[in-house]
Amino acid sequence: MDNAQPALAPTLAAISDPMMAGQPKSRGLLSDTLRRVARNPGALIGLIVLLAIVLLTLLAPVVAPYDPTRQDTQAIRLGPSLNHLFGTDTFGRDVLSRVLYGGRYSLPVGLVAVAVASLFGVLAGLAAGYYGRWVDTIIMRFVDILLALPGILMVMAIVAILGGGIFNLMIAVGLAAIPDYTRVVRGAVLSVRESEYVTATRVLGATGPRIMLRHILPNVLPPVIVLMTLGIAGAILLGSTLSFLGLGIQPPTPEWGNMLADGRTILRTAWWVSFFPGLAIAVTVLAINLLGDGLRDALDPRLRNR
Amino acid sequence: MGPYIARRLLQAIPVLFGLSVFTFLILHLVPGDPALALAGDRPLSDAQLQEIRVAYGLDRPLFEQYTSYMAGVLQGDLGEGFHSRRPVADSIREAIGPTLQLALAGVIVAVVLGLLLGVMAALFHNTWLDSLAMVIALLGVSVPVFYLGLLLIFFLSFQIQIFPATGSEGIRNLILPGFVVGFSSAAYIARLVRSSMLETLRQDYVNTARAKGLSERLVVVRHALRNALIPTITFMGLQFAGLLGGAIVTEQIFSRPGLGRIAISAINNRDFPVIQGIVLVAGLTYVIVNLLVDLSYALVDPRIRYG
Amino acid sequence: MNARDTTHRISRRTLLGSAAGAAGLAAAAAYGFAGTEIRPAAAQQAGGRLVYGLGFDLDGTLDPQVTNFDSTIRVTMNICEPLVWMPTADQFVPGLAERWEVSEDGAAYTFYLKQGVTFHDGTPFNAEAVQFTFDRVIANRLQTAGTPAAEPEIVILSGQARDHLGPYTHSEIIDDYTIKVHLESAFTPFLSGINGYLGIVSPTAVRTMGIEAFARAPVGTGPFKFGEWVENDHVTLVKNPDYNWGSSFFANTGAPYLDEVEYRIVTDVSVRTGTVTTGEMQYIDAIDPLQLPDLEANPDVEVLRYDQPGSGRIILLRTDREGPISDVNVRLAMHYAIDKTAFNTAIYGGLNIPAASPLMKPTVGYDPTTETMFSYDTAKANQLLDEAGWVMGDDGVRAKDGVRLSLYWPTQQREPDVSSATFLQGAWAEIGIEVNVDVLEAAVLRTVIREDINYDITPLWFSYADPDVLRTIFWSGNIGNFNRARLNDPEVDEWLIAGYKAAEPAERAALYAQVQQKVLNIGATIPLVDTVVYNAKQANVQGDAIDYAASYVWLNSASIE
Repeated sequence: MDNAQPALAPTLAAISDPMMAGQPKSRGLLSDTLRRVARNPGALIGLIVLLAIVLLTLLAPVVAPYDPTRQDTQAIRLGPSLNHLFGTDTFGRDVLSRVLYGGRYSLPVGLVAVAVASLFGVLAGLAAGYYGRWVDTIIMRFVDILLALPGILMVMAIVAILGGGIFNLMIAVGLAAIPDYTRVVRGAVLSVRESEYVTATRVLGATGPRIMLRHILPNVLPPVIVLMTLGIAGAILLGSTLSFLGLGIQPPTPEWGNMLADGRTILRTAWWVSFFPGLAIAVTVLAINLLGDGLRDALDPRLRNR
Repeated sequence: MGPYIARRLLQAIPVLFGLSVFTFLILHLVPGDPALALAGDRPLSDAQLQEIRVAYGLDRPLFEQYTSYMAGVLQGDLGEGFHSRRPVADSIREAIGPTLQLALAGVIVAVVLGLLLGVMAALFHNTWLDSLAMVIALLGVSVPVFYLGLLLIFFLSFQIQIFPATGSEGIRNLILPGFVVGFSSAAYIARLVRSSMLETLRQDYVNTARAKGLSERLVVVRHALRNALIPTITFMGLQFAGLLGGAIVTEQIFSRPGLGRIAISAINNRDFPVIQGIVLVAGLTYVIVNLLVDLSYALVDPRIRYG
Repeated sequence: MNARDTTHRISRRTLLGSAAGAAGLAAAAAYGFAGTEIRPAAAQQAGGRLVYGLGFDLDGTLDPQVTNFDSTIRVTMNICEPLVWMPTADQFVPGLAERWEVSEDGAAYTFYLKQGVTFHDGTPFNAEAVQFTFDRVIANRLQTAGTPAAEPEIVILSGQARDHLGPYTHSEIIDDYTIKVHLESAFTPFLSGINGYLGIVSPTAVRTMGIEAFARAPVGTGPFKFGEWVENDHVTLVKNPDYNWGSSFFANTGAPYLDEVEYRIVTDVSVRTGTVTTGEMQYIDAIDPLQLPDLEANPDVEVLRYDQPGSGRIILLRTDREGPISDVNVRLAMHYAIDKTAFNTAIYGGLNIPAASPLMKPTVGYDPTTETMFSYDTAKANQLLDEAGWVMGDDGVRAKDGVRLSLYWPTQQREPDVSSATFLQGAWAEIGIEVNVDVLEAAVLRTVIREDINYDITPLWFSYADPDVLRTIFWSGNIGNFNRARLNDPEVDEWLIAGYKAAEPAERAALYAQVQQKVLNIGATIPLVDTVVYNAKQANVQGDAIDYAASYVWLNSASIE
């Protein structure tokens, strides 16, 4: 846990509530959820903005006016103008083009990190919750250890071990977020485990892994999905903080967090160099958070029938 | 209550033990030779570098290094920093004060600001005040800490010149960094408080109370607020390690002394004993804070008892 | 060579004169006294506290003989005074030595020490203290059980001080206040080397405190005493009220006017620059170049500009390594591909000076003919590569016999290292050279540089008061240390050794000119910019001075109005 990750923690209280996960899987969960998200104006805005950002990022080679790494020594630190809508940086590179291409690095940072965190976190949480006893003890003590370690120190250590580079950064950020998933999933599993439904399948002869994957996992997915949405935002912010501390991204990669960190020393004299990547981060994170909030409400069984 | 605390502290022992093993292993997996880091630009021969490794016990088998380190820790000796050759405990003692101050300031900002925004949003549900509070809350989690810190320095320290940008002499030096550390947590608390209060306010007996007039409503708000406190406290407990992490970055930006600055330089120099010491202290803090959090439930909600 | 007394080449009157007019001061102004306005002592307001913004952290020690960092010396210089001060290119003025003589063969220096000087711990300063200080540098071993030294418990791991002592062998105590320092051979840079890194320490303090405790609270004879040090944050010095042995060279020879100086470590250049405008700090290292116009327009702030001697921002290219970098045409093409003016603008806001030589222009022995050797000429660069058989590939990277023209540049995570590498990476991409810039933590970089040795390119910066700095960088004996090009050239070695033995400036200049031309011709180095120091202070701070290397700010005469 660290400054960039409160994105995960607060929802713990709200979503690890057994009531939520305790419901048997509803057939119409997906369509129901989508309908609810669509009815929530905040979530809808978040979704649309996010789709727009993803689209712009995918279309970067088409829409970007310049090569994001090409330096122009005649255009150093130019303010925003018609030629360079977002201005140029220390090396005469077009900031707009870099921001557009930047999404190709920053968004995957969020996605891969969350994929790593949720994969390991969910599996560990399932095992801890389902088997209980010593499995639970070992896993949860390990989670305690990870939680007790300031996350940023752990991420720094992992990046140092794996070496620099954006992919390793994603993995490191993901590994640090594992405990959040484990805790949430374990809590949810505990409440489902003894339900009549699961007991019935057990009586019918289903084995542990099968019960976990086929019957318990679907029931603990809603809180995990919410956690994942918010985790993407947290990972992007943490990635940026690591760039500030000088870890991770190798030049001339146009990653948002790295651009923001690079531009910080000239904040006073060439604000546009850090402002636009900062804005890109803020808008993306905001959109994801709005969507995450909407998802949480949509997936909350207590609210579902209102 | 006494036995409960004792049991909790006993449970913390394996966690701290595991933490020390974990950190130790990680440190020795990380590339970068402490002897080379210490040598710096000094033209040392291989023999001299080896001398350094011997002096710091880095030539011994890993297990032996660990056991001798732990033997020291159990006697309250955290060892000596490779660089400063000073007891790690002294370095930590010197730095922990400013960091705890900062973390505490962060907690205060988070709780006060979070409650304020959350209550405002809940009381004026579905009005522009609600939206405003929630936008502020969202902003708090959408800007990286270091950037927020620099923005505040430029506007409040250099343009308007009301708060100093560096140093740690007094309360005035604590306000900006405290805000930076606490802001993102405030944002979450605001959202927690809002949803928790809304939920309470939706319940039937609340509607009854509401019907009875303003004085009853105050009672209700107080009741709703109390319900909101438990998730808030839980969150702050979980968040405390996070606040320490935030302090690392914030101390860099505001040039404040503290554990974060020592940690960063120790990591850069591969100063193993210092890193170990800081991790242990952070772990211990985490354990204690979470114990306090659990105990405080009983204060907030008299129905909760610990035996 | 006759024994010479260099003591009073600069007269006190010249320095006390007003800055305007006096022709004799032109040189002094150029070399560091532009910001110094020395006034009659009576008019000085005693008292006050000065907060100094250090741009760089210390390296974990306050022991002048242990440190490798100029930033550390900037602090300790005020605590542990040197034997001589060096305010300009060829001026040496008395510090703790009243006067000195150089032997006929240049291999022995006799120092006549000041009397009545006491260390902060009350013990007397004498020849034994000088011997002790120099000898501890030579022992150069970490304290371990097996160290064969007379006093193993006080043996240090010496830093840059070791290099400064050159071919020192031993000191001979003539009497309490006379000491003769013996060198293996003549070593002309000796006086410029015994600066703050060889600030005299109290032997009693070192022995009683032990080296670790001493490194945390050094004891010397300086105008300021050590106060407190909070790691990675600040060091506070307090006035030494007993001080009355200041060099006649300074306006104030008595106790300092300031009660206290706090050196606060603020590495973020934009924050540091801001604090001098608000008055939060009274003096700062290295301003943010882009804020120079703002600072100059601010009546409360004075910007101090100092040229620097030594070796500027250069990059070193490996001449000993396999692969593309072994081709001299590649290395020379890399030089032609750099627009140094644009580099200076991008990275330093144009405040430094595009460089032609690995020696900066103010350095004795700088060779002006280097200025015509290279120019920004991408056509020439491409031509060199074409002729050498490097064919441009479809991906924009050249190749020869299946080997891509791809180079490795590991760098530390700090500025201007990363931005310099980024700029040059872009410049070299234009001529079909791919450079992988790898941003590493300090400790990892050390391993890459010293053990893996798999880099092609690495940067260096070495402000230094003597052209002997070229020996530090290019002498084969320094491979594994600062000779990171790992140059092993017998001719260059010979010139460098002859250079430090020679006494006559003209003879030295001729030798160093040969070195400069050769290392450029073989592409072992590419000079980027000569550095110019831009410090800033609050306008009400008076009497601060700086040494010839523009690195160490002297505060004995400083006051706040």
